[in-house]
Amino acid sequence: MDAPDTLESLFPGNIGKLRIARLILFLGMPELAGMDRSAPLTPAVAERLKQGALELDRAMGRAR
Amino acid sequence: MTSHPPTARVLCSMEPAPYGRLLTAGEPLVFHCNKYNYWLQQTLLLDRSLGMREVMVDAAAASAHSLVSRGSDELGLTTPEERLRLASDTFAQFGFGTLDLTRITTSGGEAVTPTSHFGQCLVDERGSFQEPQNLFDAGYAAGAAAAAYGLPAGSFGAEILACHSVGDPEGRVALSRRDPPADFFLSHGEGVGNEIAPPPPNADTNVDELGILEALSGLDFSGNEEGLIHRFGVMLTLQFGSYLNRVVYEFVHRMVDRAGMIEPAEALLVEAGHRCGFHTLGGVMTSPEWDAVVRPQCRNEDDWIHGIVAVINALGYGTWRVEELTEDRLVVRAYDGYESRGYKALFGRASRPTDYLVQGGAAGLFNLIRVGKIADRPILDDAFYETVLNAPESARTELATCESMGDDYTSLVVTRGE
Amino acid sequence: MSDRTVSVERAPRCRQGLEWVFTATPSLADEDILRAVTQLLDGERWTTQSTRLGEAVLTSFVVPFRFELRVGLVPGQLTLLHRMRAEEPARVALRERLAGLLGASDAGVP
Repeated sequence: MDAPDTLESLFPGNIGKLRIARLILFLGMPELAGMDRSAPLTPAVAERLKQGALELDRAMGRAR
Repeated sequence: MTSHPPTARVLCSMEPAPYGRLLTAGEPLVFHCNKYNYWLQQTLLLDRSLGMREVMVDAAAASAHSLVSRGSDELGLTTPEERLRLASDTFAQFGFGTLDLTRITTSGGEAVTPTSHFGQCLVDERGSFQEPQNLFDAGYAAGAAAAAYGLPAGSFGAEILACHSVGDPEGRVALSRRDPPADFFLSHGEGVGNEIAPPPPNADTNVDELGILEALSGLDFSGNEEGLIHRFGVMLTLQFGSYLNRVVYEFVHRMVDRAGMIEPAEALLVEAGHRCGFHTLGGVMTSPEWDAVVRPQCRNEDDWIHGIVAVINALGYGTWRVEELTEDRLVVRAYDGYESRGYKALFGRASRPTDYLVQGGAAGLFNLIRVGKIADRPILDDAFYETVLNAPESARTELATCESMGDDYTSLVVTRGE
Repeated sequence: MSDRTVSVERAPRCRQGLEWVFTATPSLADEDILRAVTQLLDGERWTTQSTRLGEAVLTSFVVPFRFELRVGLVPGQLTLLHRMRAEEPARVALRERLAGLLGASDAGVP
């Protein structure tokens, strides 16, 4: 079974921290700021973040 | 072969202002590249519920209205046609693109931008936008039209009909009268400074700051015939400080009311400044112009920092002075920056630091020189940016003091990461 | 015929693909580059401007709404800046013509 997603695994490094800051504003999820970056995310939250990141790229004109 | 002189633009004079500031018709101006304009705009638009699109349009209208009103007085322009010409020519001169206002009457009409910095130069090569990005253009047209017809700043509403950024061949903005005029904020103009003279440049360097400033003064930073400033590998704009301050501080104030949002919002404003430092200053330091003027004076890495600070002092950001410089730490004093000057004019004394752009910019130049080894001419792309920012030694800046909080100068303390 | 080769590289920092750098091997003197530029501009309406920067003199040539050439800051190098509204086929044709003119120059650096 795969290891659960964490903020660090989804958005690694300093760039990842800034990407989370963008998602906090984009998705209206201030609770992300206080989360342990290595703590497992629930599948629902992980999915929302993955989907949100794709939508954010599109909104910013950076969709591949 | 013979050359043909370009048609002269109708422009206000660039007024000499103390301590490295740039002013025209009472409006403070600063050079910003398409990278900063992109990252700032995308930050401001992240939370759609904030209503920042409208704020950005209105802020541009306020700045344009101020410039065209005062500029027309300065130049003795009395007819709407003359004033609209001033607005279009200034738009092009400052790098925003080409703006056709000839179909605008006192009741409105359609403004067209065949070329547009915000429409075309923010677009990443990997994609285009879902929503129009020419908010500044729309507001500028509305504010300029109002000023041209001697009307209050909020007299025209602006509706974006088309924009390059969403795939249209040109930008189009419909202007219509708002009667009565909208309740409107006005440009803060020159802002409020401390009137404290900066000390002379740091003498512990081989770099001749005054010589650099003199050499750069000969470079042409005016928009080309498409109204774009292609220099140092980026597209520059000579942006209104009053526009930037209005949109940034309105964003911050709206975020303060939302629990847990202000910290990430401020982090992203600082990051936009870091991108600015990285791309604009990085573009400068990898340019032939740098090689011709500054590089010959640089005998060590510290000289690169002194050299780029000298260049910054030509860009309208006030005056920077290197106070302390070691391998792991840089302390810069920033005097008379547009952020603090504008904040004080808009809101009075600040309760928290407000100089986001320079905070990020200082870290950006340090990271470029100390961490990214810009002297080795890396390619300044996203991959390099991420490599540098993710490096353990990537630097951060703290604001030890800030002019908007009542301090004599803004103190930027840059510290290399562990 | 000259056996000179001309490399034409897109400046990676320019996302819009507007900036291209031409470098000849063996290297060309600036006057040879200017000779090629003169041929390119023949029959065009153009403007020029020169700026002293340190020991170097930057000279730019502009054919409005189509392109700009910058010469003089880096020895032996010419920078081409396409204008935003120039169509892609015209851009490609211009680069090919310019590379041909630079490559055909017979007065190389010894």
